[in-house]
Amino acid sequence: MIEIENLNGSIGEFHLRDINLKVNEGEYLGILGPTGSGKTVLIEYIAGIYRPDTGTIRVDGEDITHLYPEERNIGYVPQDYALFPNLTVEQNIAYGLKARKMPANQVNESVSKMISILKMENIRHRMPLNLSGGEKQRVALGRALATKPKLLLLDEPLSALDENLRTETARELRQIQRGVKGAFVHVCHNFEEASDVSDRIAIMNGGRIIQTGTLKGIMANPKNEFIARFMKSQNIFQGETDGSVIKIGENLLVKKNPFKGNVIAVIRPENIRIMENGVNRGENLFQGDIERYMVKPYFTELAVNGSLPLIVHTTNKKKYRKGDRIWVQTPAEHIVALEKSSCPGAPSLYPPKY
Amino acid sequence: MGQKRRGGWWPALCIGLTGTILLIYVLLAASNWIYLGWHDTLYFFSKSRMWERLWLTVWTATVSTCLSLVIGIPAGYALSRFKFPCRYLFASIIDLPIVVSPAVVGAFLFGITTRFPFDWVSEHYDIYIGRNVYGVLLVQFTVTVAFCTRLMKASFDMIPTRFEAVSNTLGASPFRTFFKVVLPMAKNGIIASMIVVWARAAAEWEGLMLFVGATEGKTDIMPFAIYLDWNGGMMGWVTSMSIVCMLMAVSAISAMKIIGGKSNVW
Repeated sequence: MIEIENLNGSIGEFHLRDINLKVNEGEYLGILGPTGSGKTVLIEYIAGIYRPDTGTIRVDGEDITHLYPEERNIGYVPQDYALFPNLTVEQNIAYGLKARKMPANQVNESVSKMISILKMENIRHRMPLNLSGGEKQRVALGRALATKPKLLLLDEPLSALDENLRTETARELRQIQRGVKGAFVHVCHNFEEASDVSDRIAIMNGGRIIQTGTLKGIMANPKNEFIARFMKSQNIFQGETDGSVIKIGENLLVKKNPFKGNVIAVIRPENIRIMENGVNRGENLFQGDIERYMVKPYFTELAVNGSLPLIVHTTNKKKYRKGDRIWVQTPAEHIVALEKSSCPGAPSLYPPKY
Repeated sequence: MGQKRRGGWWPALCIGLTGTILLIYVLLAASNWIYLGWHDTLYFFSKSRMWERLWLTVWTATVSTCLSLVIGIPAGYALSRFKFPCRYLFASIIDLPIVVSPAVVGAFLFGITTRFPFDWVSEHYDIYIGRNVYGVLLVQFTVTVAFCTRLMKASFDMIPTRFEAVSNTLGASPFRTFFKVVLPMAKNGIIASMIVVWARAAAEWEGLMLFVGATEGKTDIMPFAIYLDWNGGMMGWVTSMSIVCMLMAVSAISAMKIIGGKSNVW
């Protein structure tokens, strides 16, 4: 188990602040965040490439904070894989084992096993220059896994792959992780990729971990406005509440919440229902005209312009046209109320821009 | 399909001016040949004195290049990778040979070699560093070591540090990483730099003039010999040796471009 406590570090102008993170044995953790949020820096600190200013990193209870990278037994696969260009695939995989002075026969055995697990038999004698993106990724993975690290750090390992290959490779990564029963930390900025591989995710911004949890849990209960926006909750409003109703402009949303005063209301577009056949009974109902619609691969996105402007996701089965008047309902259980103080410097969000 | 070439007066002017450089050098070589003629030029190539001078130049430049590499490779790596006191001062010093005349180096060496440890070495081991081949080696080494370090730093700067980080996480020490990962990756850059350093050592003249002085048969490496023969009015020797020097330079630069093509050291 890897435990990081109150980790702080600075690299030039960039600061990593108060990182607290736990990776359980056999767990696949995704680290998500926008560009420049500190994801790569964090895993470089874990790998030992940088020394933190304060805080501790423990592996199975042992403090490794001040150990050199070669003493940590933590694998690292950088974004460009960094395969040694002067070595063949086989030699790349054997590199770590030879560095640990393993006897030659054991090195050969381990390399052959890794080549077999990752299905690299046909490329074992090739140089890295002659490998495709997917092959390079497998070799980098094999090289890191051959040394049986306690934790494997993957820095955007799928970013160089095309969409189809990315999904397939994500599945493969997950299978490999389950096969070796190791703990993996996977950095990416795409939450679909994170959802494909991770048991749990941690979301970073500005050098801090803002929220950790399952993808479903974070989507349902974002901690603040940043998380809500990052998780593509497109309906985010600023309002006032008395603890049972949220007032947004002239609109009232029924939602019990523990706050009073200023509040941020978040509604995910896929949680908004379109009322069929003009049914308009119940709470949190709003009428509006379709201002814009966009057909996407798995759903249709509607911009509904009414008293409460909303973005709504619906199935592609029904066709909508610009100007159609519809009723929509936002069920109270799917409205997330965030205390205004959790969103420092939140701009006026009402009305939202499509 | 190649890229469509752009015409017009501006590209033509630039290409024309580039051609001027070539023309200057062709005229330089041709004027000497016209003055001396083919047969006489070839005649001097048959003289053993010519080959002795060439051999002295080759071996002294090779030894001083090797000595420069012994210091230049680790020093270039240190300047490229590590933070240490006076790093920027060292980084500036290695640029000095580009702007300071080697005559300055020669003048300084003159004062230093009469003191410790040089006087101690000459006393105990009977190796006197002065107007002999040791002096030649010392001048060549002093002039090229900073130059060599500069080029090595450029070679190492081109290798992303990520490779070293990955090697370390795989369990390799910095020492093993240097020899197994960094050096092989910098190979082309190092070889190309080595050729440039060798050519620089072979062409050294000003520092030698001050520190070693011209001694026939002892310190007359090619550029120095040209100077000696010029003073003696022996134009045949001067022309023949100039041609050899030109050929050496062209070979060195071509080799550097071919070997170090992808390393962009220069």
